[in-house]
Amino acid sequence: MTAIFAAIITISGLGLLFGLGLAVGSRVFAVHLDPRLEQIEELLPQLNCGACGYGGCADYARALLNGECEPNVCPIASPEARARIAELLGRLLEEEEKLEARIFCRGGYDAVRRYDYEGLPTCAAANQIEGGVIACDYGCLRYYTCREVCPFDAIRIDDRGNPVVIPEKCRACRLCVQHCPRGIIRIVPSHSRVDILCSSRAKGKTVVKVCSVGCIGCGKCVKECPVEAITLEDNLAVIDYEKCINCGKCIEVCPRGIIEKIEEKEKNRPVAGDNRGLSSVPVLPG
Amino acid sequence: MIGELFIIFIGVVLVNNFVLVRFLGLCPYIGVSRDLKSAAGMGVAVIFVMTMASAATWVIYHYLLASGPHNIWFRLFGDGIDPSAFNFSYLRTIAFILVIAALVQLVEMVITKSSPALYRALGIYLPLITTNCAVLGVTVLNVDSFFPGGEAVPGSFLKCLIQGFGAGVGFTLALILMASIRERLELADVPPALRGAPIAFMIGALMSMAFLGFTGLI
Repeated sequence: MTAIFAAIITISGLGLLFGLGLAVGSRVFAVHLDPRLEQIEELLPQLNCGACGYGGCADYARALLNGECEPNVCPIASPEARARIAELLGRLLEEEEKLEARIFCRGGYDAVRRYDYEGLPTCAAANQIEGGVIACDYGCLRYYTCREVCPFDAIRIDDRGNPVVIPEKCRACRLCVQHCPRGIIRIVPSHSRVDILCSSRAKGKTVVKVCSVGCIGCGKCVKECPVEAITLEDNLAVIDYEKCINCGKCIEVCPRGIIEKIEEKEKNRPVAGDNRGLSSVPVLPG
Repeated sequence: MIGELFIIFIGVVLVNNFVLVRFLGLCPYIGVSRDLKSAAGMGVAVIFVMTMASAATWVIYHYLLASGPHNIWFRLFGDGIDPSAFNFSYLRTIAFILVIAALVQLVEMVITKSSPALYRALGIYLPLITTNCAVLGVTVLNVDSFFPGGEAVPGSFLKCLIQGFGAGVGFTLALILMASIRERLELADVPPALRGAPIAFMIGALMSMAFLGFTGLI
């Protein structure tokens, strides 16, 4: 009987002893941390992505407190959070140029397919066989890996089946850029609001065969542009964002209708009525 | 005595390496071996905790749990009773876990206060070690090897310390070797299907086989 009680007392006594020891220890060895450290950490996204160049959000917060870097280094934190951090640190915030991702394809449901594909529904898989399921070598495969990887829900599918970046939600984290097997997503400065949404560098004749909204390199926009911001590179018209003044003159002259004004705010987006299902997808013979 | 200690040390570092021969502490072996710097940090933290835990558990086991003339309960109430009635060695797992967890917490507090630089180097890894099987393993192994039949062998405290320290060194050795290989692998042309954990497992297997070659050393 004594032995049972002795066993119980031994273990509970050890527990009590260690508990008290830790309680005393936490008082004796208490470290006073700057209360701002916690506040800054709360304002940071806590994704520990390392894009700032520090080992996680906690490290970056410490570096901020020590004055080693500017509050605008974190590309993920919202502008409000950055402003709050700058305020906490009593520093001025130098905003960098805002960037956003843009998807350069408007092929949608009309894009001609090479074959029927019933494999894994990811872009990477659909890109494996015979140069991809979409006949245009530069066309969006529409398995929406970009939307899957976006941590900010900043990619929506428009009524023609195209993934579209929602500019106000995009933080230019480049995850979609890395995951797109076609390489048709690019990071562009947010001040550019007019763009040519095609990536095809194929010859005009080839483009016409596989897509109704592909750039054929006719050069009309190049001639129309008043500031010479558009150039033809490998049969594809490209806008120089430094020169472009967003006048929108090129939109009207484009015979393929692929130059668009990209609205900054979602609610200004025009609503189109054309909503075709997947059943009408044309398939290349052979 | 010195020779005996040396044999214990070599035995636990090479012949019975905790990771590669006993297969303890495999989680940090794969998890923290991506780069050399963090592997070294983790290794130092493990050496530290294992040595401390060996010392602390020796005291607990010797005076509280093992039957024999040193047992406190036997000394207090043992008059006329068979000493084996106070054999609490079956409590060792729960008691050792308690000791290790409390010890690591306390050590973390002390380091935070006294040396912020060391805390930043070890800080992330210390809490990880709290429930590491390798640390519990070394304490149980200490009991098994230096308390045969419940009685401590001569010089057992020092032997426990050396075994704990050696186990930590062996763990660090395995971790650093692995991290060095994996850093090289980053640049190697590994087939896509094997990149990351799969190739690490294969390397682990090869290293384990290599370490089995030390078997005849002592």
